[in-house]
Amino acid sequence: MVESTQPRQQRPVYPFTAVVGQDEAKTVLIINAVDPTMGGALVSGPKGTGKSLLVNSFSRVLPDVEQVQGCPYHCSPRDPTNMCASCKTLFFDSGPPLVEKAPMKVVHVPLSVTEDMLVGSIDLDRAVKMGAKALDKGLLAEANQSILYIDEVNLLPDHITDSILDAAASGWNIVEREGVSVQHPSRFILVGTMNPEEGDLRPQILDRFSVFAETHSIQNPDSRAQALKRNEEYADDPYGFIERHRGSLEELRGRIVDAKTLLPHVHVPDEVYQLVADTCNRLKVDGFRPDVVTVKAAKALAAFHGRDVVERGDVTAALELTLGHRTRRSGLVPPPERREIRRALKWAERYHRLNVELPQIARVITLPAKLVEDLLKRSLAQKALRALAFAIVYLSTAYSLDWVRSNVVGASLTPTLFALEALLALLFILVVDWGLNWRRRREEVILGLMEQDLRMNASGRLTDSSPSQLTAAGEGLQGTVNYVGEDTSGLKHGPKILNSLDSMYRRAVTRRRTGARVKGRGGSGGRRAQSVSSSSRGRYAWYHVPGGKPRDVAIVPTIKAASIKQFERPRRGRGLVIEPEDIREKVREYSAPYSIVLLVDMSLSMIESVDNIVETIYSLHGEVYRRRDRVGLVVFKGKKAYTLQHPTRNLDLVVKKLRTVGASDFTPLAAGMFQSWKTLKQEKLRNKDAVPHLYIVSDGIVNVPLDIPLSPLTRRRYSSEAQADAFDVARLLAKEEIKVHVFNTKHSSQDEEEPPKEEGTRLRLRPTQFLKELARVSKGEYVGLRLQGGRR
Amino acid sequence: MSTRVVYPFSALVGQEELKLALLLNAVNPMIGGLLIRGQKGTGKSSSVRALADILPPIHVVKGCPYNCSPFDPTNMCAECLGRHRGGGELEVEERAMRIVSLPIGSTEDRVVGSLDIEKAISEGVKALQPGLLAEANQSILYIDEVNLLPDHITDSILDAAASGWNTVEREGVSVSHPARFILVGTMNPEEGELRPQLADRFALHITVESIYDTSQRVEIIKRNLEFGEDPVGFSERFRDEQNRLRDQIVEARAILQAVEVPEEYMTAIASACINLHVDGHRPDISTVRAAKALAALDGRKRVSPGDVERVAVMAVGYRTRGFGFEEPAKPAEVRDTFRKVFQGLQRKRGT
Repeated sequence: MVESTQPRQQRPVYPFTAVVGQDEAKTVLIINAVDPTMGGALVSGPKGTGKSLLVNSFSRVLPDVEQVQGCPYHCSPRDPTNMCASCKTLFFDSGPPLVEKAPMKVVHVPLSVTEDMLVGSIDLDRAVKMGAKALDKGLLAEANQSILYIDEVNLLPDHITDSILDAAASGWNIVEREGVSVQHPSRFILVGTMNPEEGDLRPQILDRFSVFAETHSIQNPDSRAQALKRNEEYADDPYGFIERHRGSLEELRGRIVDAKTLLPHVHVPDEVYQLVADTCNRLKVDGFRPDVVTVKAAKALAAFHGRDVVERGDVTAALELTLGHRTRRSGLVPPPERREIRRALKWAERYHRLNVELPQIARVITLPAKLVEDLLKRSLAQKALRALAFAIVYLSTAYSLDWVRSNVVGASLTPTLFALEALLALLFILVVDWGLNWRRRREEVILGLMEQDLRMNASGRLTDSSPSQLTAAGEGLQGTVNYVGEDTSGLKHGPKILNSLDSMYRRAVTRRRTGARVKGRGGSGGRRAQSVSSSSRGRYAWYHVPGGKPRDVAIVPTIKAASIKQFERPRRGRGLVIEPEDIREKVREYSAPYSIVLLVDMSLSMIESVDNIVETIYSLHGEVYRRRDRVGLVVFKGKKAYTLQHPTRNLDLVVKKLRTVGASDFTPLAAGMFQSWKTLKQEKLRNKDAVPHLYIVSDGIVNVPLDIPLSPLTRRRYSSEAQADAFDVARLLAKEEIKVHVFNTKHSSQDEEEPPKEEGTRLRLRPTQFLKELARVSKGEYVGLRLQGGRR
Repeated sequence: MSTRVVYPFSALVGQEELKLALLLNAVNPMIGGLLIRGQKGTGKSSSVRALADILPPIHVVKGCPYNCSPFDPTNMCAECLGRHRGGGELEVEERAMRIVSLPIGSTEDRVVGSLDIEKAISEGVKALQPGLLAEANQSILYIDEVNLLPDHITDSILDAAASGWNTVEREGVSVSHPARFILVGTMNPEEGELRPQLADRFALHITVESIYDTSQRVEIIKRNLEFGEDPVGFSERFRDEQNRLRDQIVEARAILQAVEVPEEYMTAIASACINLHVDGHRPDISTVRAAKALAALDGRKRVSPGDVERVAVMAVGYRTRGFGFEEPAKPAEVRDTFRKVFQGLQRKRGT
């Protein structure tokens, strides 16, 4: 470690060891440093808790890496299985290549990164000057053997994340773009940070981060003061401050280096594998990646603490770091909490011990081994209960029967009576057993029914059990109201929300398809969805003269442009002379997807409509995945709104979640709209071309205002604060250009005609009036539906 | 050959149906591809990558950029066909079948091929730089996360998969070349569904599920870690097994032509598909082909009802039914239907 103690000519970075607290975040980074094959760390926490600082300062702790001298992809000189083509040839032709040591870098992935920048693309300079096809390497090449750092990973566009994960999973970056076809190793430590306030991460991406830590604001005043003090000191004299912390930094680096050499020699007892697998099993974590990663993390932790055997503490710590972010049961169950992990581990441990000890005991007391095995197959809690019940019931029954026999009947023990007693005792046990299993069986039945239900809906064949029959009525408002015919045909399911929503969606889609042609007409169509964008997405449609540095060159137009001028240019050899002025850039055409949020009222009065809503969601199915649209779900009930599902293409998930929500008495519409606004805004960050749509399904009886009003002025105009706040949010939605569609499930033409009640200077709107007004304020459309045959 | 050391196929724990489906495709490329669905982290991609090591050799025309087969004049590029017609002997090269992966970020020009810039600029020649579809001719085209592929790329692949030919008409280049590949895709249904047209292109469908069995999970962790620490040594341990598997595939390919499917079985398969209301005829065909491959893999020259039942779940189980209005048949339903049909057959033979 001699060379790295020399002061580096780098800009000062706050020393890693001087960061106060955040031990968990430090640990996950260290684990990755000890074992770079670990697979990345995710640090999540509110703003200002030092996430980015930790990652940036961490690079200065890391030991240097060896790389092949001059290799643009920073290949490792030792491992021929992970070398780029040229290094590999070199390795086998002329032996081990020249090695240079370089500090590990932190390669930042900016949120605005393009795919070309990330994976690499054709080297234009060389293509034009020399007519050679070469790779202009991207960030993934730069990050080989280093750290790839994504700040705000939850805001990164999906297609970029996909490419990063592709490389992270295989350790290779395969470039098949723009005439270049290159493969190079890209083994990096993936580090992401995110602020959960700004939205969640797709579970699939979460799963790729091996370890997860949360940062918190420090609550201890002393530590807080210390953090403050150090910050001040650093600001005053960064170099001096770094100098003062050099010792601890060196020590940490030493420990990491030692741990790295120790790592291959760390022994993992068989028991640890069992425990990890069983714990993951108990928690029903998806896939096998968590198991593998946990053992790796436990090994790294043991090595970091200088031990060559993995101990129980390592496993506990590792489990907490590797499972805290993983959804379970295909995403239906949220990640386990600390407590849950510990409990599962404890049970796994007991089970394991029992597994080892019980057969021995069994052999001693010569119980049939098969019985024990059978017993072992069940979960421990059940087993214990069963064994206990077995013992108690059997003993007490046998005892009481015996008592009855000797004291009441007065008979002496005969083989027949003995057999009878034993039989009766057994019967009791069976009854108790049945009772114990009853709950589980019930759950299974319910789950089975639910699944069946889902599938029926999915296939579009609803049975007659569809509970409510909705008919629709609507009248002109701002010229955007839809008339939906009354149900007289005796169909299985009459025109419901389904039909109107569906037709509306289809209309919107048609509008989108023809949007490019009717541009400038504006109106309710809003933004053109067939947007022309110069981002590197979509199909190459035509070309233009680039504005700045060309990134996405259209080759044939470029060559054509150059060939016209060949006559005036001095030609060298047979090649074309291409000047920068000839370069043409591709214009790509890309049909923007919709981001739809369904905002569903979950008050008691709405429950009957859930089936219709579910059906509606499924009816969107075909269009949604063809158009790459995404549907999310926000519900409001009680006093709050919940984002049940961020916009996704998988409608099954949306439906599953919708079905699990229960109803409540209150209707906080404003909160729901606000939550949807946040969700859609975030969608726009993820994909700036996405067209946001909000479908509000409610009966208009609102009664819960926002906690903090957006504008107290509006509240003065309406007697219901809940209504006033909803109008405020509606204005917000209009400002954000979110297309709002309001569905009133209890349209009443009577309500509509009556003038609004005036209470002093304030207005009180009836539900139908309110929803119509809401549609007007948010510049959206209103659809009135009426529940027929149900409660009025 | 390949730069990377892949996890040995024979070291994969569990997932027997998935492994079988991959092997069947290796034995009989005519089956028509495989789609693997499954949750994250269940070893979908690993198993496909692992297949590369045990793939049998193929014959290509030496130097042909499109990997034409030297024995099949109906599927040759213009140049090879010209040489073949001209009576010239085509030089044959034997090389291993490849797994050509198509990364999600691929651009269309690299997939279908486009103007060779190097040649265009330095020599002024309009030549085609072959794309991945040319490379995948006679091999496997593997798309990870196939449901995330941009639509326009998917369309090009569908075109080629349907016709077996890739026609490039762009940027002044106009070339047609054979592109007969085995399409293998993996996807996580949580990320969104696949377009029905594309899903239909995959003859076999497999759903991979997590294993909730502690001892198997332990084995998975152990092998994974061992491979991570010493990939070369780990592969060495499974060398014999790998070689055996490869030989098995080669032998199966050799007898595949000789495997016979009794006429009555064909009728049985057809009627089972009718009973199940499966759309289209592709499921029938792929069932027969897969069953033949399975028999060949076992070294038998006659397809048994057991073969048919086993592959039917993969070939028929996920097809849409009743013009898409009915849900796909469940594995148990498929198995039952086929079993019943075969039982009926036996009874008929008995009387």
